[in-house]
Amino acid sequence: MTLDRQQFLLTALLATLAMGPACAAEPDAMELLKTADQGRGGGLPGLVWQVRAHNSGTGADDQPDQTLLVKAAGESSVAEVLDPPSSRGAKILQVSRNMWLTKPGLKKPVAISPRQRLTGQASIGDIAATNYAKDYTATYLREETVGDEPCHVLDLKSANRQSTYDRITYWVSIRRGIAVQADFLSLSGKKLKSATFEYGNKINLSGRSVAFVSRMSIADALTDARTVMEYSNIKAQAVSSTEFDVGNLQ
Amino acid sequence: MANEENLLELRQIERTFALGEARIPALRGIDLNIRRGEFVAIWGPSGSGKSTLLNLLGLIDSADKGSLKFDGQDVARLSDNALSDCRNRKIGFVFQNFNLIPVLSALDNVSLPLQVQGRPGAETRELAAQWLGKVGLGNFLQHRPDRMSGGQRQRVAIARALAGSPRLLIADEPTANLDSRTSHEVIDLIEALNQETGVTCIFTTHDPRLLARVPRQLKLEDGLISNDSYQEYAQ
Amino acid sequence: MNATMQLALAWRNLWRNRRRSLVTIMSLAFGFAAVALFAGYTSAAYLALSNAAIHSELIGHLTINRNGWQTQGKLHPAKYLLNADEIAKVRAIVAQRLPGAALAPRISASGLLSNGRSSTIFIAAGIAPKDLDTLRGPFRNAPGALSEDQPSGVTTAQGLADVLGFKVGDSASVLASTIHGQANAVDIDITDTVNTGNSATNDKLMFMPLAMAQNLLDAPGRAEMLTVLLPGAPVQASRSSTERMRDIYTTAAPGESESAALRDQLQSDFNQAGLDLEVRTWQQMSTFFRQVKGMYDMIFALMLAVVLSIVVLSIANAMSMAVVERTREIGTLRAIGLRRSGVVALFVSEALLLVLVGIAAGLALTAATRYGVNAADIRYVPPGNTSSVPVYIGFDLARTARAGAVLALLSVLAAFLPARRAARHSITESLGHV
Repeated sequence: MTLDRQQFLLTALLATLAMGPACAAEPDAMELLKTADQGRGGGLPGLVWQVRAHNSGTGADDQPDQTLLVKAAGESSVAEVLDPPSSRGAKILQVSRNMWLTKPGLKKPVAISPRQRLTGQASIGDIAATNYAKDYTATYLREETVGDEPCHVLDLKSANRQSTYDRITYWVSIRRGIAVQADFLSLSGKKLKSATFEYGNKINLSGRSVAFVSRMSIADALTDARTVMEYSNIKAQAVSSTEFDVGNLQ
Repeated sequence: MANEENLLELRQIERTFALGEARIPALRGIDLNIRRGEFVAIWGPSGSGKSTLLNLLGLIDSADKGSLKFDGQDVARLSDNALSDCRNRKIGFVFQNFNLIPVLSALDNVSLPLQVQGRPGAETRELAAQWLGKVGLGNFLQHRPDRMSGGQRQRVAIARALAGSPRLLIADEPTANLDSRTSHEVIDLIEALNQETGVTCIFTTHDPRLLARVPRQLKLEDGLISNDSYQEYAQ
Repeated sequence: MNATMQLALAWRNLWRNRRRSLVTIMSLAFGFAAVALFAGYTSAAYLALSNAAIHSELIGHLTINRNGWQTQGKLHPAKYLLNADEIAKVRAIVAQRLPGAALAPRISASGLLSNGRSSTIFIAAGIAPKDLDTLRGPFRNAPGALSEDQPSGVTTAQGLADVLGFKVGDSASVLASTIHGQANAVDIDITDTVNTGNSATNDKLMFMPLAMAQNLLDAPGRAEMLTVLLPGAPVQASRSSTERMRDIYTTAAPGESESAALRDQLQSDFNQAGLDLEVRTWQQMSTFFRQVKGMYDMIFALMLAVVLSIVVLSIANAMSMAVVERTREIGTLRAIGLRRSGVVALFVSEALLLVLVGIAAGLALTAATRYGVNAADIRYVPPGNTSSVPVYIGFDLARTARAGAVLALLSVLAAFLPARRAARHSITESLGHV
């Protein structure tokens, strides 16, 4: 064989070898997604936890830290404000795509429109939602290292054109199977928010000990607003469906 | 007297004026006939009712009681418009103060009754000019009253009164504002026209010299005819 | 008495008391001129307002939208949007019914404008740049234009730019919800700022290209309303700004009945084509215009009443005095045989002549004043505006003629009554009057 042909064969062999492991073992993106969801409470029968939210950035001075009690089951969740006393008793209910807000003293809960979910507490709600697998279809993009952690990078696309964020770029830790970072994109592909996740908590799930999110940092891409949420007191317990009934909200 | 001969027939004419609360009887029962073509002077002391009688004869006033026939018609039956038309066509007035319209020329003033009759413009102007000629003012056609003497003005007034060929000429103290020579000239003129056209002429006067020139003299005293002398026309 | 003689007599009688007649004529002339000038001013103001409503507020001549959009559209935007197919059908119908008319699809979007640190609400009108240019007509050179060459360029209201510290040339992002409820964002360049002059909109308003708005809302090819601009005099680019300002005060827009007729025609065309659309005229859409016109109409009526009272009283006074002064003359005329109606006719002719001369003088005064004021280019800032506009006095033939007619009528009446009284006097009394 001539030198050229040898080179060609070698290149081709190497290429095959390189591709090999990837081809053979490209992870199922949807499976990855489902597993990652669990780390944030997705797909579990019932969970209760506390969240402490801290805002920073321009204009954050008049937003005091809040403590919320969250109950989640299936694709519904309800968050009640415990602290500060001025907003104690306020609740945000999320049932699939719908969101309501109520406060002590309001006669009826207020439905929150998609536009109102662009900013403020409601926008956090969309991000802290637990069940991406239901609303998004995942495709595998590549491998990438975040910090010192190698990750699968997934491209999540809204399955039903109804989720607030049309696309999410999702970094899932290869070793731990949970998401460490996410970028939330608009329909036009513009980054609107990004979030990082830490999993210092553990919960007991049918005998197994599963890592659960301990901190979520959400940064707004269009302004300098940041929100840090600290999760604590995680308990896996059944949550009655009446908790997610709009009529019972007050 | 035969009816057709009389231009005017008055029977028991009364006329009373109200002055505040008081009632003043100016005419207290006049019976009078005036024949066509007569030349009559009415005289008497002031307050005797001369002007009132003249006004009634000229149809510019109406009696309170009695009947008045003019040219065979009972005037009490006539509407205001009919009376106006009657005056326009059959009666000519000459006033003590001339009463010409100051903004109009002599010609236009004389044209007035003809205009009211509704005659066409050209005919009116021609007739007016003729009459002004007849009263000796042929050169004064465009003159306004303020550019004429008293005598001239009165002559314009006479021309105006006669331009429409009326049956009756009424003149209330026509010479009162004129000097004696002009006065006689005016009476001459009236006399001449009376002779020429046969128009019935009735005028009031204070002046005894003028009185003497008139064939029929009616004296009024206290609202009644005290003397009605008809004499042959004396030169 | 024939008419010529009557008029000649009336004319000469007018000048018997020269001063009194002149004063009366002057009061007539000034009063009539005041009315004519005010009518001319308000009619020019209406025209300017109508042109502002049509071209500056972008109401156009007719507005087409889906039935119910005006009331329900805010709650369920997606349901009331017109799709590309419907828009094409409307275009065809409009082209046939109103050849030469322009049709501009519009869509509005609202959301948050952000400068990287904070964000604030914006409300954007989405319209294609060349449609905006056509619609703005005589205002097309004012600030606030969009450019075909800059697909990401927007015009913001001055207050909106100030709140976030933006200047012309800056870039920013806007965040909004699509019609399906998803979050969407686009990059924009601020190519121009404009002062809306209205504090309620000056911190929110934005104009963006139609394509950008459709993109932002994830509503390709759709529109919430279509603005129709009727063909009219083309605005030449060569006209100077003074000429264009003059155009704004003199170009007439279709009136109420004309617009309504067009609206009804289009409406029935749409019904026949099975399109569930409603059409509104510009008068229906511009409450500001209707309210201002109503206010001006009332002020004009008030002014007319005041002027009429003063002028007619002046004439009544003059005529009464004339009648009294000529009592003896009236008596003489009656003695000559003039009927009562003839006496009345005499004085009425005089009054008419007085009025005609007065109105003629008034018209001359109006023309002179109009010319002077318009040439002087006096400026003021009307309520709701931020820049000055010239005082321009037009000429409202209809209203001026009507005012003149009413004036003539009332003046005749003012002469009629005293003359009739005098005619009814006893002749002897009149003759005896000093």
